[in-house]
Amino acid sequence: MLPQERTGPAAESLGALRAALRDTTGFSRLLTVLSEDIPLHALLDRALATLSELFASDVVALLEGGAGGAFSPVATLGLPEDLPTWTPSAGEGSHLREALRTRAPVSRVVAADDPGMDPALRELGLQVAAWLPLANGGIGDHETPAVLVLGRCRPVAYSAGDLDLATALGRQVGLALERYRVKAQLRRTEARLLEAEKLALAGRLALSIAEDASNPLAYLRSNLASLRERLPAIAAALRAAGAAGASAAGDLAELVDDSLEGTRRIGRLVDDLRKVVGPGTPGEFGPVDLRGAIAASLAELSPAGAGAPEVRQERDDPPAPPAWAPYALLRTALTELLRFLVAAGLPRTCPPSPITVRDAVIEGRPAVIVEDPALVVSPEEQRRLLDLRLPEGPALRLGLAAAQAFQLLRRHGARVSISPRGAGGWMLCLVLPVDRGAGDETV
Amino acid sequence: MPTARLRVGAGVSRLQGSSQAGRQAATSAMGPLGDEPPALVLVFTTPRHDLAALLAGVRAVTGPALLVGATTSGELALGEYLGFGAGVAVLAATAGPYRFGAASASFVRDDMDRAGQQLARTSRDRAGPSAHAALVLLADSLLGDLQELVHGTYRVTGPRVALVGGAAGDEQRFLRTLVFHGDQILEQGAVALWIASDLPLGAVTRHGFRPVGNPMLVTRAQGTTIMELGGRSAAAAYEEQLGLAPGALPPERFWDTSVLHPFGLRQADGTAVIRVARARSAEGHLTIQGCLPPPGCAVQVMTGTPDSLLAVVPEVAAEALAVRPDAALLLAFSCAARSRILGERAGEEPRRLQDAAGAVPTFGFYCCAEFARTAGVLGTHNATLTALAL
Repeated sequence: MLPQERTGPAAESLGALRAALRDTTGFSRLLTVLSEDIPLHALLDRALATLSELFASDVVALLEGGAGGAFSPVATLGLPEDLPTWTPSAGEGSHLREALRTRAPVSRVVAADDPGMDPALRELGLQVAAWLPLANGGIGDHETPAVLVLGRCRPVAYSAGDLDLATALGRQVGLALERYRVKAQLRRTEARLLEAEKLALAGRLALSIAEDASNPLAYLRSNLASLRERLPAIAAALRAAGAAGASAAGDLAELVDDSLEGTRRIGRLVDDLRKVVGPGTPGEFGPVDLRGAIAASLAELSPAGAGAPEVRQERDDPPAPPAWAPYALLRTALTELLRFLVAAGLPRTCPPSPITVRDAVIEGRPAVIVEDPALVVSPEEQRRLLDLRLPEGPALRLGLAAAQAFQLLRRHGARVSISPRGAGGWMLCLVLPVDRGAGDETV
Repeated sequence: MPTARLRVGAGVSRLQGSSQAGRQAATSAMGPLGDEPPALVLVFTTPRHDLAALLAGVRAVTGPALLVGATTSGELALGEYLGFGAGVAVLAATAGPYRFGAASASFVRDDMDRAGQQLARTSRDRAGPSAHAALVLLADSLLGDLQELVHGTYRVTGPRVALVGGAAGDEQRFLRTLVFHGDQILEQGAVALWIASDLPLGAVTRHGFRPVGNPMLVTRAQGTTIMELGGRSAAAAYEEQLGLAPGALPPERFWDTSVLHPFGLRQADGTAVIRVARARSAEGHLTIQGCLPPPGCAVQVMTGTPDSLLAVVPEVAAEALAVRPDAALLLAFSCAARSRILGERAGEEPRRLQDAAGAVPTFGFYCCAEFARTAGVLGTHNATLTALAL
């Protein structure tokens, strides 16, 4: 009943068909794995296990190039867990580099005297190893070089057919990895968009509250001010009423003063809210001439009052290269910062020294440096100047508008640092990207 | 560093009383050790015994030495075949040049990969560091896809550690199989024995089947079940390969035929890893024992005769002993499917194995899936004879 085993030419044909079938099923097996909707690490794990089976390989590793020509494993199979962290040999003369340079698979017997052999592969007891460059040396987008490494502990060399098929399958793994990364990036972008929409909604709500609150706040302040003016007469009447009235008169003055201070602070918050979420901010991204932006922000400042420090723009160095930033937002940040610094009532050494603002280049990036040699700010206050939280009690804060503007700039690649000046006072450095920034939210 | 030669003794018993059987087999096993205490005890037994009493009987003789074992579908010891019924085989071994460590876990079905990692890690830590090692893995054969367990161990060991072992049996009833660690009898469990060595150790595997018919693509599979081959009912496609009419192999008669004609999973070197379908459902799905040809791969129906299966036995012994020419023990894990195919000649396999091993004692059992990793990560087999020389 059973089919008989073929012999002669029929067996040869069957052998060729089996080889073709092996290649086809190799693809079908791997594509079946890669089509599964599972986490990336599980996907790569299964893909490498499949390659291990298909090519009888005890070690399989997908390597990706990084900065400075170094390579690191994206996924591995067959590396024992007590193996120290593997940094694949990728220097000149290494087989990995040879595979990248020739854009062709390199297969070698693992010999002790082979200077191009990765010592870690020798340690694993491999007898044969192959390095397969993937798709013009890159994963997916062809920009990041990638190499698939296969190794066998038996002295059985990889055939040319093995290497070609493994390269083709490795490329599929690379493409799957890229697809996954693109999808992950898309998910992050969608999440950010959702967050941005929520923020915009919250902003509109805040603006509405600010608009609605400003009128009642205005007459509340007006009424309190009026009450404060009439307090001497009221107090006199109360004192005339006796000892209890005298005590109440004292308390009343304190209560009215506190209420006035409260309304002033609420007023500042409302103003900040309107600046933060009002129209015109943050504006479109584009190349920004920092020197021009500084000059424009200085022009927005009201004439300094008595005792207020002077603000100077310094232009000693060559202009900084254009920064990549939303111009309106940058203007808001600088203007609000300078308004804060020239405000009356801040603790300053006497006599006040001029505040300087200049454009500069820091680590190759355009920057704005604001130096204030006279404002008395403790290290703790320096750290909290840009805090978005509302201050409790008297504390030095730039206010919501400036803090929010700096926060947004940081999210788009800027770096902000506040530090003491050696000669006294403090300085703020705003380092901006020259291109679309990835964000610097950890600063 | 221990350099003494490994000393081993093996004993069997067919007594019906569990405690007495354990004592008898253990006493025989301890004999060749003389005054030297055992460092390792292996117990392979029919599941019909009162296992707690059996282990107590063994340990009453061997003392608190490290003990691992499993229920089986037959045992082999010193060339003797103990078929279904009441057999128990005990091996006692000194440490010799090795250091042993064991770990076990119950109810590992839900995450066998992680269990495999944990077993390998813990047993390795208990054995201590070494230049070379082997891992003997025993597991409940009804856990599911046992390759997940093997893959988990491989994450820890890498390729330098030889893997052998087998899935416990219940004399082919496929209802309940158990493994042992010390006094513990583990449900849905697995036990790993790490053998730390200063010299290389290597696993060997052979089966003796050859392909017939045409390769077929696994187009739908899940767990340990193949639903479709080439887009058709797996059972119908299988029957066609055997030249049978659709439905000619009803579920109740399926195993009698399928054990003779397992599937072969083609490997890179042209060999095949065997997968035995032990049951078919009314819907035409085929259940593979302990592992699965993954979707997308090609399988071929294989065939084997008693002679072809027995022909590989001396090859296995010779190759295993070539790795360790100074071996004092040949551990062997054969398959219950092989003994079923061999039928009345089942006793020939352990006898030939012992003949080929010469003075080296042979010891092992008949499994419901064998473990042996020789190339790549795939280390789970059916209908295969595997061995490790120590």
